[in-house]
Amino acid sequence: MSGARDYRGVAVTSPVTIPYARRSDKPAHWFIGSALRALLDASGLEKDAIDGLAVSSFSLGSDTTIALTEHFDMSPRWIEWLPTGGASGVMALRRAARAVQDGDANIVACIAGDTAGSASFSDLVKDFSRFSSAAVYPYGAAGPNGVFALITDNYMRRFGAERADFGRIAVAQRTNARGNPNALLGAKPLSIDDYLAAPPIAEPLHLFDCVLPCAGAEAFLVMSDERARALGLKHARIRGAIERHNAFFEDPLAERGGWAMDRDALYAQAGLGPDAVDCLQTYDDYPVIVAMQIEDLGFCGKGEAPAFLRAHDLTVEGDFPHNSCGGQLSCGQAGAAGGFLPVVEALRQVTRQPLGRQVPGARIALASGYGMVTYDRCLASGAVLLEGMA
Amino acid sequence: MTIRLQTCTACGAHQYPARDLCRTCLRDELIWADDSGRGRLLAATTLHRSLDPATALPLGIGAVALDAGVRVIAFLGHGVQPGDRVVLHAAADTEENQIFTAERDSSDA
Repeated sequence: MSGARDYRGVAVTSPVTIPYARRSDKPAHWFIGSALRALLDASGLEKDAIDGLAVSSFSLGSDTTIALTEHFDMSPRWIEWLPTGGASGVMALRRAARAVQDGDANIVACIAGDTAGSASFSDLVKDFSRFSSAAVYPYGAAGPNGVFALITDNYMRRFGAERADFGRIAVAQRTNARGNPNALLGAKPLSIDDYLAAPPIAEPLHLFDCVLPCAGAEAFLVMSDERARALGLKHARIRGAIERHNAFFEDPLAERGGWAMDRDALYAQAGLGPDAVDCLQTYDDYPVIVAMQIEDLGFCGKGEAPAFLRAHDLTVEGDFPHNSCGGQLSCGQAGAAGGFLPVVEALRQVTRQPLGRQVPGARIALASGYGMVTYDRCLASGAVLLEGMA
Repeated sequence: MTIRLQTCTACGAHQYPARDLCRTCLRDELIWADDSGRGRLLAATTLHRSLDPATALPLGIGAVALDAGVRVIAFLGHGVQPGDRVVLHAAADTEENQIFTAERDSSDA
């Protein structure tokens, strides 16, 4: 196993969300700065107390974390920039935790935020990476829908999954989104018949397999548990965390992600197994990726997710609570903030601060991430086990 | 019919999309070599939406595993199904900008 040292002494606190909007005229800087202000409000801290800043965004233009320090009049002694989208929440958490353990920062603000203009999504897709510009975009300019349609088609053929299996994920999440004021689609009921009757986007993907791009931000603080207690903040500790990049690059199509390489190390570090997880928060850019995470994080074997989904109830009150806020499929995908959503929702659940519904008795949450489709699959994967200490 | 595939003369590895060094041995000894373009169609999709208004829809694309050991996204010729043996045809202005279409491989009856 990796033999990585544990995350003892580190607290994760103050989950905040800047309300999502289908479109916004405000730049990403506004969303990230608003999230920073919300972190201060949530923690009672002064801005000067934040001496570490980790940021993830796709729509800051030429700016990165360093430019934001000037926008926000901060002088942190540690910064991090995470252009890794769907995996950036877990990655920010891991880096911030080490900075706190090593004394390089006392209090790290981890923030992901993006705006959404009329052309921003297509602009992002067109120039997302050299490989996708050269070898994906010319084939119909479908963006991630095209690539994930191929991954879904392959998965269905290989493992006998049916559309209705993926529909269970989307429908359960829509149920979970009810009562979450931040879920852009939370007020719109979704039945399995609605799911199956939706218009095709990139077959076998149909409308409710795809996320709604939007603007918004997600953020949390990382500090010592001593400090969190002194400040009276509800917090979680990190039982284990992993990441992996460009895993299984010889697989002809993505059927598994990096979690499959590292989950044993994750559970060994945490001293617990999948059966101890009270709620799972996955990166749900497409339902097939949820199925892969359920398999690769050890809840069932490879190819067994369809049967698992038929046998379990993924709603908040069900026997396998999953994406309890509605996930990106019901909240919207606020750019890189979508990669923070699993971590922030996991933190909300284990510290009893949900935006919507509370998973009864949630103490251990597993959050995972998956990001950066630079060619035909996402390259970055990660996962973290959080335990509520509130 | 052949396509051109970036190939390392030092270690023999093929690669796609094009890179600046060999992905395997990292040497700067790449050439563009002829390849049969033969492989298997692994998965397919019919696109009904595009970010480019000029795209004619619906449009079939697929994921091809070439016998040469690289994976390629290609347009689909008529009637090609996942699992089929295919051969890629390239329309190109340059080697780096080859646009591939996967047709059923009639030599593989």
